[in-house]
Amino acid sequence: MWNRFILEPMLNLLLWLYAHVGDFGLAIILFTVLIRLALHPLMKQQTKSQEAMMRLQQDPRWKEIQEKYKNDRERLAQEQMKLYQELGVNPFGSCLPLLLQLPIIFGLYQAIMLALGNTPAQLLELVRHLYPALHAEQLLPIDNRFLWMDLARPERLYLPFLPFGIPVLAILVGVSTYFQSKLMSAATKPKDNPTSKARGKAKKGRDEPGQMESMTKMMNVYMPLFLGYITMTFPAGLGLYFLVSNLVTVFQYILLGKIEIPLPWKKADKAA
Amino acid sequence: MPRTYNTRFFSFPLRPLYGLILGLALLGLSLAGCRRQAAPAWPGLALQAEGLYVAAGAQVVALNPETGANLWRFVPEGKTFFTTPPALLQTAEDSALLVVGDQQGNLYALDPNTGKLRWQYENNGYPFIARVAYAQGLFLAPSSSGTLYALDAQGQVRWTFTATAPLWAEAVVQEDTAYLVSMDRHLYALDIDTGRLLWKENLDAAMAHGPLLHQGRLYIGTYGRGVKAFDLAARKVLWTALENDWVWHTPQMGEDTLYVGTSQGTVAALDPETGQVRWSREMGAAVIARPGWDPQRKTLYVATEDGGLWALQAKDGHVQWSRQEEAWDKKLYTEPLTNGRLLFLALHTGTEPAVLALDPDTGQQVLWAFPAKE
Repeated sequence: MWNRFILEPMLNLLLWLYAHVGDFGLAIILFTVLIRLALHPLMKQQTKSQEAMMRLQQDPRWKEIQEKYKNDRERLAQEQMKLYQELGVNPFGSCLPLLLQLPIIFGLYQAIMLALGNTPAQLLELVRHLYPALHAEQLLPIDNRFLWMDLARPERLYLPFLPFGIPVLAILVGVSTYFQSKLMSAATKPKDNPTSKARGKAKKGRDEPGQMESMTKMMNVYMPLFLGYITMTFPAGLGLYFLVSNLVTVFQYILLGKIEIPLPWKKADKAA
Repeated sequence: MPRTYNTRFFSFPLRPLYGLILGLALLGLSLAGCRRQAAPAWPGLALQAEGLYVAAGAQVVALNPETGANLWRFVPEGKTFFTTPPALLQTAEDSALLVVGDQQGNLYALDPNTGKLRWQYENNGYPFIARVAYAQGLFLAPSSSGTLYALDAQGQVRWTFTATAPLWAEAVVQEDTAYLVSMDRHLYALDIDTGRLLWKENLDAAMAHGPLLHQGRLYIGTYGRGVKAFDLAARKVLWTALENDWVWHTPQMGEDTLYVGTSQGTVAALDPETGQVRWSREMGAAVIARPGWDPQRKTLYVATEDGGLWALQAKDGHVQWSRQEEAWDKKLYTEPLTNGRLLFLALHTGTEPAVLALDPDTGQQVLWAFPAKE
């Protein structure tokens, strides 16, 4: 079921792109962009829900009921639910789009890994998943080279004056993940952000916004390190997907108007 | 007295950290294990009177062919996976070597009697897939980087030749010329002394398994283009049979008949002169392993991917016996070998060597198994 409805359509799309552009790196880039754009409506929904949740958690009534029913969990839940309904916020509104995206993203990862098989045993596995219309016998061998990389192997850039290879892609993935996370956390904060004083209060009261902020900060540090490490040890094709995915996500947030780019003509407009 | 807990341990600021660790662990698990990855290679077998050698997973084992007793075991340091079949080579120095390659790009030359490492060659990390060949004092080791390494008796590089795609197929040698087929669809002829390219021909098919050299002809199994017979003197393709079929092994030569299996599930007996099909049989599952040949019984042993083993009469393909393997993954990818008394079958476990010794006349009786059944 998974193979038929998720993995195989994605794998065949990836190799169809490869058959047309003739470059596997370029095919991965196009493939990632296409899939991420197809998921754009879901991401938009997720961002909206996240914002609504953040706004709700800054609402004085939310804080009030937190304080009032801190010793009665059941009542607290009832009151929270009432407030959700009153403000028209779905508490699972940000989880559902994320959950819907997850199988697609895993399928994307699997399709790339399967296409990068570099032994006959792995090739047999790949061929089994290809549609006859793709004519696997014409497609093979898949040329894994892209720029200086072999996409089927962990990436290193070897320079003649250095005795070791530089993991350029891992660095790019780490840096882009860090900036993407920073931009995202700033973008999903509601515009009427509480003052530092209010935030201090929130922390004192051990309420959820304080915890979330702290978690986001940690994610901003650990996630780039984690993805950088994965890129260093896994085939470069996966790292390329991470990098493109980060860039596309930033672009999507720009499209959604969550990130403002300080373009010179925009500045002029503002001044006018 | 009621039991007390240190609630601080579970409270903020540590709680988000648990969530984060859990999240990262889940992501890691999803990436690495949400789908079972295929093992990078199938087990390889080699046989001589004194030993049966199996390379599978991270080890090479030598077994007594008569009893299945483990003679020695070679496990290199570090994480690895053997990706080439073991090659038993009689060198010019009149000593035998067992050469195997792994996924990390190492070649190990072992003493077949003791399993001691004689020499090791390490390339730039690209897996060796093809069985290593030996001719005129040189070990010919094609690598998936696309480079053929010619190594001398000490494992030092004498020359290299690079094709434009991975080399997964064993080289064959006739007189002073080494012939090499590549995934880049070409057949290359190289000077054995220098590695200089003599000529190349585009055969319009990716080729991942070594050609069979027989009476001045190469018989080559291809991906999606069937079997080709190439005349070396005329430098041209004589015939192509089973067009559009995928052949995942070197064709087998019996008594004046060529045998091949396809991943479409057919075994065919071909006339080596014309490529005409003498007989063919549907096996019901893909035939990835090279059919085994028993000259004594004039029998062909065909292993199917779904665990079936068939003994077919060479002359007409009539079934003498068959058995269904139920152990392990039930999958067979390795050529069955026979020494006349026993038939050896390597099982695909994906992780470690496993072999059965069968009675070649009936196929039903397991005479010994490695590892021994509890």
